[in-house]
Amino acid sequence: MKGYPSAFVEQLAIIRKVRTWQEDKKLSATQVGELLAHYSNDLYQPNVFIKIGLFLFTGLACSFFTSLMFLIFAPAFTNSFEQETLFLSTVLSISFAIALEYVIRVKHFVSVGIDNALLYACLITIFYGVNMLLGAYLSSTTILLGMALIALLATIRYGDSLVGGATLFLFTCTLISFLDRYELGKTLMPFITMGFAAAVYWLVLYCQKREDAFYYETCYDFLEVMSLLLFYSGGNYLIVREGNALLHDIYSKPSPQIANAPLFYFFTLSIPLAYLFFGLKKQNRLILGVGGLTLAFSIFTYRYYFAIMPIEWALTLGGVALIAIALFFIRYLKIERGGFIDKEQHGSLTQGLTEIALSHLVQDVLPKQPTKGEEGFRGGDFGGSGAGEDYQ
Amino acid sequence: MTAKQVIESLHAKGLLSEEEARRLTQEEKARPFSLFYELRLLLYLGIVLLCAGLGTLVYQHLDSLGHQAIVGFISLAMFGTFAYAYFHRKAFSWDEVHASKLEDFSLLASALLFLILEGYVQYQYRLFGERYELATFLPALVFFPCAYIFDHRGVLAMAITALASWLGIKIAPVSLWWTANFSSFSLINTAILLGIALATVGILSEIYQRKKHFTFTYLLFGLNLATVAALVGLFQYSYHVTYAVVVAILALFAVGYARRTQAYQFLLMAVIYGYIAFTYCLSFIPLPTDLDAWLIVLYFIFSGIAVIAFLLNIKRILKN
Repeated sequence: MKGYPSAFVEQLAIIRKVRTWQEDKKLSATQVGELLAHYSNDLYQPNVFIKIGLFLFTGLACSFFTSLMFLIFAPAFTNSFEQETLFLSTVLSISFAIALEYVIRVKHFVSVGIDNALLYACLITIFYGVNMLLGAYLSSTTILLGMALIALLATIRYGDSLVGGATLFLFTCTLISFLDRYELGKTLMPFITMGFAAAVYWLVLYCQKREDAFYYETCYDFLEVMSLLLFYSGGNYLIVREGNALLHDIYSKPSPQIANAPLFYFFTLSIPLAYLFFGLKKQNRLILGVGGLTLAFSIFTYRYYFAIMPIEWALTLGGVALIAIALFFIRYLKIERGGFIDKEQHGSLTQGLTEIALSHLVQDVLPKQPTKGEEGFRGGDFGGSGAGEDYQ
Repeated sequence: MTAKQVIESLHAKGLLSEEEARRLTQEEKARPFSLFYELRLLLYLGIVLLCAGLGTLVYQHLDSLGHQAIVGFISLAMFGTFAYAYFHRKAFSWDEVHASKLEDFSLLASALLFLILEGYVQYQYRLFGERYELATFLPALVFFPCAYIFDHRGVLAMAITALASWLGIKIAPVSLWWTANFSSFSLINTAILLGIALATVGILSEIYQRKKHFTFTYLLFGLNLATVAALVGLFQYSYHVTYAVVVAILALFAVGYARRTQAYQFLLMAVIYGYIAFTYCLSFIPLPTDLDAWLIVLYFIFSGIAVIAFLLNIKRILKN
């Protein structure tokens, strides 16, 4: 069933772990060299920027391959759009699938950008075909369900995180579009969504204990984050209240109060706190991040309906509080305390990011030349997009 | 895979001795959880919120606060943070100096406050009158020495940005890509020269071992600016050959540097910019009208595959 040879994926996971030990100086360079000598012979693992380049140019080649197929076959189907779509999406998706299997089996590529791009190209053409051909005959719920099942099969075979995320998204859409048909479904939607998210979360936890969990490692992490976010979205007061208004085609502001409001207040406050607590307790960076994100959205939710103080005071005090908390913990965690520490970690992707961010900041703050009629000094307040006002 | 599984697998294959395996298992268990990025994110978020909030408050209460009070307050904060950084600085060295986080942060804060103060006095008192170039040159003049004395790459990036602004150029990458409208011929050439100059400084710092860890920052801004400016020149003005050659030289240089230092972001930059320039140059070849769609489509497919092949074999190609 699996697209990539399991041995390769396992090997990659081992190499990654050994490298972190090398960075943490738990193994010497010679030890690492000896260990890796047993592994990395026929597995190609390029630098992340090369992967980005491979992904981009594979995408380019795939899109122009699509154009080429249109050029070749379009004249044959002058009067039947349906036949043309059926034929082309079949030919294209099969070509991409063959290319994908080829680069995996012959070239031994595991997640190097090329295989990812081919997998996405294949799925996109299938989804396009399904939508165009069946859209007129089947309900949107059925179509969404069909796409979700296809994405699920692709996830099981290739273990790709993005495809896994798309699968969860499509199943969620299917569920919502199904519930939307019934009045009771609309009423129970938040609870059913939360139940669905919880079920997905437990399923992922269960699968992580399986023998083949290493094959889906990043995919499971991604699904864990997505299901936690979905669970929160199902219980968030703002999403439920505004979503409820939207489902009932009510566009007046403010939107009407919802039933069981106190329950949703409770969810909005308690879910992020629970995430933060369990993130710290389990020392899980992903849950911690989700906790921070959802807490910020809960604060936004509160402010959306009840403004207890003007925005500028809220920003100032919130800013002071955040800075104080951050500075306190940066000092407090200089040494390890309770299993936590504040120690720099390295990653090549983030190199130069601070400099670029600062450069943008400086450009915004620097005193600006007012716009003159003179050529060459158009810089200033309006940037490129604002030029319309002066130059039309 | 969990660390435990990896250790077991390595041990089972005889690649880790019993003792090593036990040591690693123990250390993995005791490994503290680092909150480095989480805390930095909170800190920066806090600063952004505070600046937005304070900015609005100051604007609303301008009349009751009085300009002198505001200027005094900003100056006080600026000198305070600068003094902290100054009195806690490490001894100067041409090598990399590892400063404490708080000291780095104070310097950054004082540099930002300097810009805010300058902007405020210019807005309120017209300190520099119509001489805006002075207002952008001054920060560059202050920030460059600070970057070297305190060994701070962030302040170096700020200095480079100010220097570019003084010449009327937006160097920050995203604004460079989106608003790449060098509306005059001379501005494009200035940008190319500035970019090359920055890259040269970067290379010289490496050769002469003068803050050689600054090389990456100089090259990142310099090469990006020069190549984008040359591309715009290629698109907008009629000296196609000259600009194409400039792009080619810069791209080759970036590839060579990436190969030597393993900084593959430069390789990706060179490949993308080079590909755009090459494709644009090809568009001057007249095509037979009944075949043009076919040739264009085939060109993109095969050139795409060629670039993929180049990237896949980069190590082998560049070794020779």
